[in-house]
Amino acid sequence: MATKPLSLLACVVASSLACSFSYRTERNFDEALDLGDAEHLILRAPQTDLSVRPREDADTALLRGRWYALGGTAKVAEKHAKAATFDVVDYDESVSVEAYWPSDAHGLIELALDALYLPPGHDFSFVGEGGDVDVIGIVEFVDVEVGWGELRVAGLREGADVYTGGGDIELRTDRTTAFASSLRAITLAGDIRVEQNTRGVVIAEAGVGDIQVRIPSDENISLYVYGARGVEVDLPRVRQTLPSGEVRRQLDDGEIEIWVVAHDGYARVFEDPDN
Amino acid sequence: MVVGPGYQGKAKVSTAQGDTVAELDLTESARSTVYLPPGDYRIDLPEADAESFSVEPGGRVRFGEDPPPPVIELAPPAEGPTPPKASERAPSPAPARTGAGDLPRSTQRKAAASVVVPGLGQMLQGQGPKGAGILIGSLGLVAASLLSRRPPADPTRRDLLSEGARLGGFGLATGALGMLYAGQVMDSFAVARGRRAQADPRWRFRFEAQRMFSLRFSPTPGGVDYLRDWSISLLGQPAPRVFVGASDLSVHVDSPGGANTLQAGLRAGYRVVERKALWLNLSGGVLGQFSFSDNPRYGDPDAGPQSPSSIDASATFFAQSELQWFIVDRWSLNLTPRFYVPVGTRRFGRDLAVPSGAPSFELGTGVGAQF
Repeated sequence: MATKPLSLLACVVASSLACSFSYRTERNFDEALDLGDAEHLILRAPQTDLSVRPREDADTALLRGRWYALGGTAKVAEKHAKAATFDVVDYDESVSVEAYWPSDAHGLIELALDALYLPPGHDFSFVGEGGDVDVIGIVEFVDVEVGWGELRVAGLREGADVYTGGGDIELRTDRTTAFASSLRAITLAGDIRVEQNTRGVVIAEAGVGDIQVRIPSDENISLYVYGARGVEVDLPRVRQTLPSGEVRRQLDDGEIEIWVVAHDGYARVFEDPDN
Repeated sequence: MVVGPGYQGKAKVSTAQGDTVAELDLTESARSTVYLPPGDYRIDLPEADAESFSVEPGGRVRFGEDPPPPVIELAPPAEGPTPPKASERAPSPAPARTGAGDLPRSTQRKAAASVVVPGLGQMLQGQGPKGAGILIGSLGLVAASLLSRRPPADPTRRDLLSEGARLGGFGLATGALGMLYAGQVMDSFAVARGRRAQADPRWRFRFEAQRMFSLRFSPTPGGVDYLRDWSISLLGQPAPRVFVGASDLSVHVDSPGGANTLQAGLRAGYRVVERKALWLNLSGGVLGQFSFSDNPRYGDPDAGPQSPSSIDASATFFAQSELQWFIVDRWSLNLTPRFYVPVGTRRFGRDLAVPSGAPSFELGTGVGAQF
């Protein structure tokens, strides 16, 4: 009977096409954000990489990137791309910027942020679903929380509080500042590297991964270091190496907290020889 | 079906027109019962002449002699399905049925070993090479599934072609693994019973569990996404070869802050090819989705981002073929290529969707049981 082999052949052909065919479009944007008197910009976005850079000689922030969208037809794809936007709410002291799209486009839109240019004098917070974040030259306080992705924050003066669900973290404070920057870094899986160039607090915690913390001096610190796979403390007044375990010391008044915990990794704290 | 002790070899029961109704592997120590609708039949027993006999409604026919009598009882089941019309009986004879309780307990335990370790049941029942092949094949598919599950660490190696191949391989490997596992468990019990499966075309109720998979191009250029949909179906057969019922019953969940989706469908179809152990159905239907979100980010566009919640609905129209391979009488492996077009966004959970109007193919693998 010819029906059977033909039907079976049809099955095989269709099986090889387990694929959905749709149209894709993209829309570039340059979104100027009027911050008014606000000193704090809060940005919430879906999965995307992000670079944040200072914007000198300007009062407004600039958000640059593009929306990608799918549609069953080219027209529907364009409609979705146009519908995606940012919701900006001014709370006087802060401005909240949140990616937004209609519910029927959920799952069909992706965002790629090239950069956020931020005028000086503003703190910055970013909440993202995932992606690498790179903040350089923003001297005010930086607060980043992402589901996954690598975080790199450099040139800080007032401190940082960063968290990633998975990925390496690198924090570096501005060497020239006289402020005591407070640094806090947490990753569930990844390595942490902190260069604390001010007389400020350091809190670093890694679920799985190694931690390396450089501080300018051991004066007046309260030190706690734990590493499940090894501990090394290399300070002028504390030198200790352990295959596993913790080191706890208070030097002078112990006013500056240095708290480093590598739950499943190697922890190292050492003094910055350049400072 | 009762196969009385004393016979060794193959026996065949056929209709007066010559269509085979049942083939029996008789052993010295086992018994079987064959249930037949009323009609004229013929039986070929090992080392004996062929005999013709008639089955009357409610009657029974017995072959054999004492002691111990090799007995084959032939009678309609007390609460069995309605006998088919004479015109249907010849091409679709009633199948032979073996109750699981007829198997010795030790044999059942050996057969069930395949539930724990793929192929072990076959090995314990004297089919070592086959069992070893199943075990090696299962391990190979597990390895293939694990290897294709994660993208390469080097992002420069994640181009469209390699990601498509990786995710397509993952879908095929996991589908094949599930089919192999279910199939070898069924086969282990088929080995214990000592005969091939014969599906009953007069089933009344069918349950199916399946996983559909397909790929889509990501909104971001160069990306591929893996879409999968686990679901169950509950079907009935109101007329010969025709089936209808609820299908694609499922729930999809997005990441926190996304939408939760309830899915249910209607499906109707017709069996176009019907062999003893291999059926092919063509069917079509529609599946509906209702998605609920309380995240303002995905709110009503007219109400703006501050909208507290939203409800979306969509319908997806589909046509599919279903290849059913019966390894034991009631249980089958199902391979289901499907073509569909959504009207409204079809959601798959994990923040993935197919847009309205996008022509799409997906491949389903699963198991079915009919009664």
